[in-house]
Parts: sequence; structure tokens; C-alpha cells
Amino acid sequence: MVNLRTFVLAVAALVLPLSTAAAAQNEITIARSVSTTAMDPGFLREAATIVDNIFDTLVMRDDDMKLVPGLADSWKAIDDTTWQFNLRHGVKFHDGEDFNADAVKFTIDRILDPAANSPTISYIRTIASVEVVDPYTVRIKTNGPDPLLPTRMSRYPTYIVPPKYVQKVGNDVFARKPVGTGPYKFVEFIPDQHVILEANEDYWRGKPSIKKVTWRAIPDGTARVTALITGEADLVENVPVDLAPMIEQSPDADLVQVKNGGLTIYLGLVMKDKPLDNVKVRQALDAAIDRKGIVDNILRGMATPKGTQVGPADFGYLDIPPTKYDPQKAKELLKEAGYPDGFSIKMQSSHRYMKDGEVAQAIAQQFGDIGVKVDQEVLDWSVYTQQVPRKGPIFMLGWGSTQTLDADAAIYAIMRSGEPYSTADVPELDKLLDESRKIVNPAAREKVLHEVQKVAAETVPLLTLYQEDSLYGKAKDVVFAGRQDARIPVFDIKLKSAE
Amino acid sequence: MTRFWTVRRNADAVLAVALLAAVAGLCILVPLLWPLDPTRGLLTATFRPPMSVVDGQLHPLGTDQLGRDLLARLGLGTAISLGIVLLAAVISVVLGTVLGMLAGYFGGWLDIVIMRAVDIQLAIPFILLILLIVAVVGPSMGNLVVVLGVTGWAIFARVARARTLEVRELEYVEASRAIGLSNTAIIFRHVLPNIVGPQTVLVTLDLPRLIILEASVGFLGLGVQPPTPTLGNLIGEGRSFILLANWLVLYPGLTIGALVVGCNLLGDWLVRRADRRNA
Amino acid sequence: MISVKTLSFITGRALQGVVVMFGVSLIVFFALFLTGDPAALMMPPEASRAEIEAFRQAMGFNDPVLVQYLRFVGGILHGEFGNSLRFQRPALDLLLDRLPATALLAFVALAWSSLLGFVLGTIAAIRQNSGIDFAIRVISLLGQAIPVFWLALLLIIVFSLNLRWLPSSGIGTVQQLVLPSLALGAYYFSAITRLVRASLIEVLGENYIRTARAKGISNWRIVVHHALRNALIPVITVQGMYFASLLGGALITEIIFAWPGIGRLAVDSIQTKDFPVVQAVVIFAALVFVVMNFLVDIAYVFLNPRIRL
Repeated sequence: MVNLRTFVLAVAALVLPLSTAAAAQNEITIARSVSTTAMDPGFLREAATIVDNIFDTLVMRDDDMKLVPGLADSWKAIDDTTWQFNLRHGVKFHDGEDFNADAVKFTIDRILDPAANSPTISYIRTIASVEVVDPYTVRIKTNGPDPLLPTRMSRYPTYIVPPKYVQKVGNDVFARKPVGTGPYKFVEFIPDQHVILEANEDYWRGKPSIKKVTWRAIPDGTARVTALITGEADLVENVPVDLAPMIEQSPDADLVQVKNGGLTIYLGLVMKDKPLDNVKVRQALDAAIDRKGIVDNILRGMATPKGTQVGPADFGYLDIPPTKYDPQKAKELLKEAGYPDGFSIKMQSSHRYMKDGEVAQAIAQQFGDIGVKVDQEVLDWSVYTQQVPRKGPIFMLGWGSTQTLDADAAIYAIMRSGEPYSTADVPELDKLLDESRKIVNPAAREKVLHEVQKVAAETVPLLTLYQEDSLYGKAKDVVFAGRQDARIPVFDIKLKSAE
Repeated sequence: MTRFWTVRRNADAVLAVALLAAVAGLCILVPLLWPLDPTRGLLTATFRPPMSVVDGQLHPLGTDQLGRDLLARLGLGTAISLGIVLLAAVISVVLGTVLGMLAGYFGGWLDIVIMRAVDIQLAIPFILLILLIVAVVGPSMGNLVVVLGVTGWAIFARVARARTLEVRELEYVEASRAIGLSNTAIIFRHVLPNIVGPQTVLVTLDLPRLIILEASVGFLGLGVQPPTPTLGNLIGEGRSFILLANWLVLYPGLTIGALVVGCNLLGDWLVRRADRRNA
Repeated sequence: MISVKTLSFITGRALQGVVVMFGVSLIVFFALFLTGDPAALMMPPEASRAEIEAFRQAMGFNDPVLVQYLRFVGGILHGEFGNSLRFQRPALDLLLDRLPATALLAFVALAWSSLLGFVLGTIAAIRQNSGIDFAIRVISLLGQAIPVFWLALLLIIVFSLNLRWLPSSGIGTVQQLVLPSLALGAYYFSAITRLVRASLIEVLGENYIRTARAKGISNWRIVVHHALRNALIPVITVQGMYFASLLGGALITEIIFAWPGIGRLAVDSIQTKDFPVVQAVVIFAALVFVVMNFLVDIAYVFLNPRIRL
């Protein structure tokens, strides 16, 4: 028979190691909401957060999001369709292989190969060919003028991979055991469990301060925040809005809020369907939404009401104030449009963005206030992506320039008629958008992009709502400010206790 | 002494009736008498704890993430959930009873086909099957009723078949057949009445499973569409706020608990009563 | 030893199992087929229609339904479910990678729930209609009344967040196993308690027990030596089924506690339309169920010769 004392001792033995295991020197655990499936940067189907620490790109972004030299020392446009990159000397991959022009050519050719079916080929679709001039010089030719080419060289899929290693082990093994030039070397990957990386002491930018990183996936928001507060994780991504106060109040953790670090949420309108083809109806719906009320009360101020889809950090941004909340004017507009008693319409949303379920219900209620009866449909994301944007007729989506930080990425795909994700159909917008893609001169391009945003604000092809902040939680000991482009460069993270 | 023991023995039934009556009161009286709209709220009055007063209006169970009155939502949600679950149970029972009787009465190939269909049904993990079906047909109240009903018939078929096999062998049934009574007549006059009892008991024991299942489907966001409340939706939406506003999951949770415990106790009591009668 | 009758019974059951698996494969395939085309989901939003079409062609989503189904069944017979669309690895490998985690969780959950359920069920049966009986029954009813996601979050809040006794997520240490197995086992604990109580009460009412009692043998002796053994059969039967359903049904527990098991793989795969993995998981869960039932059927024959063949 087990007596009580033995039992208590046994429980203590189970519980006690917990308190001592947490504080290890210069190691951190980062918890994300999604699992990693593969780490081949050319064939990612997920955010590049982990890969970003193993590999480098030719061009990098500093903390202010300015393009700075990465594996390329410098670059310049030679003519309208040719960019030359001069590469850094003396950089080696983690397995000792040399980084050079061949590696760059191999990296890009591998993605462009139609047989490879890269899911991210669209990001570098403009590239026609890569030419090796000498071991440390490459020229990239584009199909037409492409002012964004250096930007394309700063994000996935163009992380530079080691040709010999990839050819030796094949793509499948490479995706599980990646080798790059980056600040961290791959150690271990157990799916759904963790990815472990260790510092690359020979890194060309210097020795990383953090020696070991463990990436874990904790899908449930409450469990993820609990892990931070109990010290099981030192940094967590994707903090649910309503748990933010808990982190702020915790003596052990801080909230990191990156203003405008997230996507811009909008309601797409299928413009070919009645009554959304009527601009007055679209304007009425626009004025019926209380953006400030939603942001303040539902999102706890963790977002910014917006009047344009372009983010303030993007090239080409024009500061357009959000549409004023005016239900009275909305009702009048509806009357002018010939719908004095409103109408019924279906609105689709999913579970993907900050409290999108609550926001969709609040908007449905506000539309109801002006007589527009909303029939809500909330679908699982997997089903949603198949129906959006064709079904609608109103649907919620988030979009952003993400790592491109250029207005083109934020608007072209959702406002140019005929694009896969666009339900807009405004000829004037199409003309301007097409024009913007043909201009290389930055000042002239910026002017056209401003014009696009003005026209969009008048014709309302979609209802821009707000731009999300991105929220992280970190242990007090961790130095991390968050970045506009949502990367987590562990190279820049430090522990106070280790200094 | 005897009286005391009878009370003791029926304590289950008393408790069950009390719990179920409380839930019934909630889902009948609240939608009828409580004046607040369960689907409209004030964005400036979110997450008010129970017994809060907003603009002179009392919220006995507090307000939710959109400032809606939780009591109104719980009342309507319970009514809708019960409706879904009961309809689904009816589908399961009818489908299961008919197929089970056919299998048991006629035997042969029909029996083999039906019973293998039962096995197939039981072998596929329920929740995955429901996720798949809802993903195909899209979430709606009607679809949910049908999915829950159609995926729940297997046990009823098994019981109906077993019972039919027993009844078929009874002397008076054989006699009926000998005097030339048609199969349909025998099934309706002799077999069916013998199945109704066990199936009723089985329903009370199966309802808790359905209630939890509806809650799980709602929890995964695949149930009835918002802003319509159901017990599952309430808990599913409320769980993100469990640390902030625990009443949003506490009260729907308690309602589910009362329903499940009530049904189980009632079922147990019915089983025992049937046993005593047989003994 | 084994009679011809027994042998033909076993073969018959095995054949039935094969038929069931065939039916399962048909349902799984067509359910997934109807959910639509994963190509749009697998490609980035900026992909053009032509790129999506090329991907679809390459993955064989454009072939006729029958061809796709035959390819599917042919593959299963060779143990191939195709490559996961997300991981670019064989779906079966992914499943087998995660099997130990789920099996461990299921085993521990079933172990504590059976043990405790057995003890409490026995006590309740012996002290039938007493206060203890009533208390045990209420506890076991509650276990069935609390949805697993509710219990899981409650456990995290109490034991991780407030008391800081146990970690809230992950795998690797004994402590990390405690909360998920508690959450997962609660339902089965209730079910087993109730089942043990019910079947023991039934056995205790039978004639030979009454005779034994009349002979003056003590209550506990009767229970331990006679009744429990006979009450065990139905319990073992459902255990087989529970273990099978635990394997497939741990999905909510695994998601909340970030447990790297099959359930989480299944939900992630449904959400990303990773056809081959979903198919592998469902077929595997069904197979476990069928095999368990088969074993239980056979065990029955040997445990209880009274069963009519």
C-alpha cells in the first residue's frame, strides 16, 4: 500500500524539476501558433519565420525597413531589364561550401524550373534569367522593367541555398535538414514538436548572442500565453487581443505591440452582383461601419482605422482618413440608390484574423441599422479560401504588402479586375494600376500610386476597415522590439541576464 | 422505512426531473419573457460581469464580447441546441429502427449489408466524419441536424435488430405468421411495440453524446452560423475569453452539465425500472 | 483444440473486417473528393490561374474520379497513401512518426481512467444506493458532462497558470503528460466507472452469487473471487473500442496541449486539405477499430464458451 508520504514525495519529484529547468543561459524558446512543415526556402507554404534565421538573402532590411546589403555588397540597374549584384566574399554555408555566383544562379533557376512546381514562383515571376559574370558577380534579367527586383531579392523564395548539398541530398531531405549561410545552424526538427537551431559562430555579421533557439508550436491562444507566463516559452507570436492585458499585468512578461505590423482587413465586394454594382450602395455600406467603435471596443485599440489599403510603411502610401461613420448619410445614400428599405445580402468570413468573428458580427449589426439585412456565413479557412472571392457577395479578407513594403503588392492583386483575388471592376482603376507597373522612375510611380488610392476612395471597390498591429509576448529578460515585416531575427535578440 | 427507501431509490429520478425542468424553464421562459434581444448588443458595454447594470438594464448573467445579454443568448441557445439534438435523435432512431428491424426480420443478404454498413459507420472516427461532411455541405442548422442524425443511427440499428431477432422467435409471433398475417402487419403489430421501450431508454442515454457533439462542432466553429447562439457556439466563442470573462463559458458549461447529468440519470432510472418490471 | 466451427467463425469475422475497411475507403475517398480541390489552397494568393492549373495537373487532381479512386486503393494495398502535400513526405511516414505520442497519451489516459474507474465502480456497486454510491455516480456523470475542451482549459488555468505545478504544453517530460492525459481520460473514467458498477450489480444479482452469499461467504470475498471476473467481460469489450476511439479522438486534447500526435495532424491536414494525410489518418483509425473489434470477438469465444457460434 502506498502511504501518503510516499505519494507526496512522488508528486514532488514530478513537479520540482520544472522550476530549475527554465533558467538556462543564452538559450531561448519561441512559441508560434502554427507548426513548421518544411524548411526549404524555395518551396515554402508557410511564413518564413524560422527559415529566415538559417538562410540569408542578397538584400536585407534593417530595423527601419530600409534595403541594405546582405549577401550582396551592392547592386545597380544596368538597363531597364538588367540588375547587377556584386556578392560578398568569404561567406561559407554551414557545411563549408562556398557562397558564390553559382549558388545564386542555382537558387533562382531551381524555383523558376516549371517542373519543380514551386508554390512561391509568383513572387519572382518577373525574372527571365540569371547570368554568372564572374564568381562574385551576377546579372538578373527581367521580362520587363521591374522596379521591385531588389525587394524580391530580400525575401523568400530567394534565400540562397547551397547547390552541392541540395544536389547531393535532394529537395526532400533538404527541406528537413536545411543548410544555409545564416546566423543559425539547423540541429533538429521533429514535426509538431520543435525545431532546434544553434548559433553559427562563423557568421559573417558576427557571433550571435543567443546560442540555442527552440521553436515550438502551440496552436491554442490561451495555452500559448500561459506558456509565456509560466516561463515555458520566452517569446510568443500571435498574442490574442483579449489576452494582451494578462501579459501586460504579468510580473514576468511584457507585451510587444508593433503598430501597423499586420495586415489591412477589408470587406471585399463582388461588384458584378446587384446591388453592389451601384456606387451609392457601396458608399452607403462604407459609411455604415463604425470603424473606431470596432477598433476601440473589440480590438482593444490594437489596430488603426484606415482609409486606404496601403500601409504607412509602404512605398507609395497616401494618408487618406478612414470613412466617417454616418448611418444617417448611409440611409440617404441607400434611398438615392433606389433601396429605401434596404436589402438582404450574404456576408462570408472565417477565423483567421484578430477577432474576425466578433468584427463580422458587429458589422452585420451595423449594416442592420441602415436596413441592410446580413445573412452571415462563417466558414472554416480551408473551405473559405475556395469560395472567396468568387462567392461573397461580401467577404472579409486581410491583405498587405508584407515583406515587399510597396503599395503595388498591397493593392494590385485585390483591385485590378480579373486578378484571382480581385472582385473589383473599375476601368479607371485598372488603367492606373497597369500604368504603375510600367514605370521605373520612383517619383513618377509614386504619383500614379497616389492617384490609384484617391480613385479607390471615391469609387469604393472594397471597404477598407483597419490595419492590425502585430502582438508578441516576451519574457522580461528578452530584448526584442518586433519588426514591421513580422520577421523574428534571433540574431538581433539578446538576453538581459547574459550581458 | 419502505417509504424512505422508495424515495432514496427514486432520488435519481427526482434529481433528473429537477435538472431537466430547470433547463426547460430556461429555454422556454427566457425567449418568451426576457425582453432583451439575444443578437444585438452595445459595443461600449462588452464583458460586463454578471449582475451588471447598463443604462438601467440589468444583465443577470453579464454581457458577452459584443455587449449582448448572456441570459438572453443562453436561453435561446439552449432552446436551439435542444431542438437540433432532439431532431437529430429522431432521425437516428427512425433510421436505425427501420434498418435494424429489416435486418433482423428478413435476415439473409439484407441483414449482412445493413450490419456491415453499421460496422463501417462505427469504424470511422465520428468527429472527423462530421468535420468532413460539414466541410462539404457547408455549415447550417439544417445540415447539422442531418449530419448528427445520419451519423448516429448505428447503435439504434444494432439494438433494434437484436430485439427483432428475439421477438421473431416468440411463439405468438410464429403463430401469427402461421395464420397468414403479412410481414408488414407482424412488424407493426408485434415487433415495433417491443422495440419502442428499449429505444426510448437508449435515446435518453444517447442525448448527452449528441449535446457534447453539438458543442464540439460549435467549438470548432462548424455549427450553426452566428449571430444565432447555441450551447456549442457560446462555449466555442467564449473560450478565447476564458481568462477575461469566465462567465461566458461557465454558464453554458453548467447548462450542458445539467442536461447531460439529467438525461443520464433519467436513462439509468428508466433502465432500472424496466429491469424491475422484467424481474 | 480449435474446432472447425471456431475457425470458420474467425475467418468469417476477418472477412467482415475486410469488407468494412473497403467501405471505409470508399467513404473517405468520396467525402474528400467532394470537399473540392486543394490546389487553390496550396498555392500562394498571388499565383495565376495557369500556375494553379499546372500544379493541379502535376498532382493528378485532373484525372477521372474512378482513376483517382483506383490509384488510391491500389496505393493503400501497398501501404502507400501518397505524399503529403504539405510535407512532401509519404503520408504514412508522417502518421507513424506521430503514432508513439498519441499511443502514449491514449495508454496513460486509459490506464488511469480504467484503474480509478474500476475501483470506484466496484465500491459503488457494493455499496449500492448508499451515499458513497450516489457521490461516485455524480462524479462519474460530471466526467461525461464536461466537454473535453472545457476541462482542458480549466486544467491549464488551475494547474499551470495559477498553481504553476505543471507545464501547459509540449511533450518530453513526465510532467507534460499529466494534464493532457487527465483531460483525455475524464470521459473514459466516467464511462468505465458506470459500466463496472452496472455490470457488477447485474452479476451480484445472479443466482450463484446469492447461493454463495447464503453460504455465509463475505461480501468482499464474493466480489473479488466471483463477481469481478464475470463483470470483467463487458468492461474488456468496451476497453478495446475505447482505445481505438482514443487514438482517433484525441484531437481536441492534442490541439490545446500542443501534443504532437495523430489528432493534431488530422485537424491540421483537414484545414489545409492535405488529402493523403487525412485519408491515411481516417483509414488508420478505422483499421485500429476493426482490428480491436476482431480481437475482442475472438477473445469472447475463448473467454466465454457460452457464446453461441
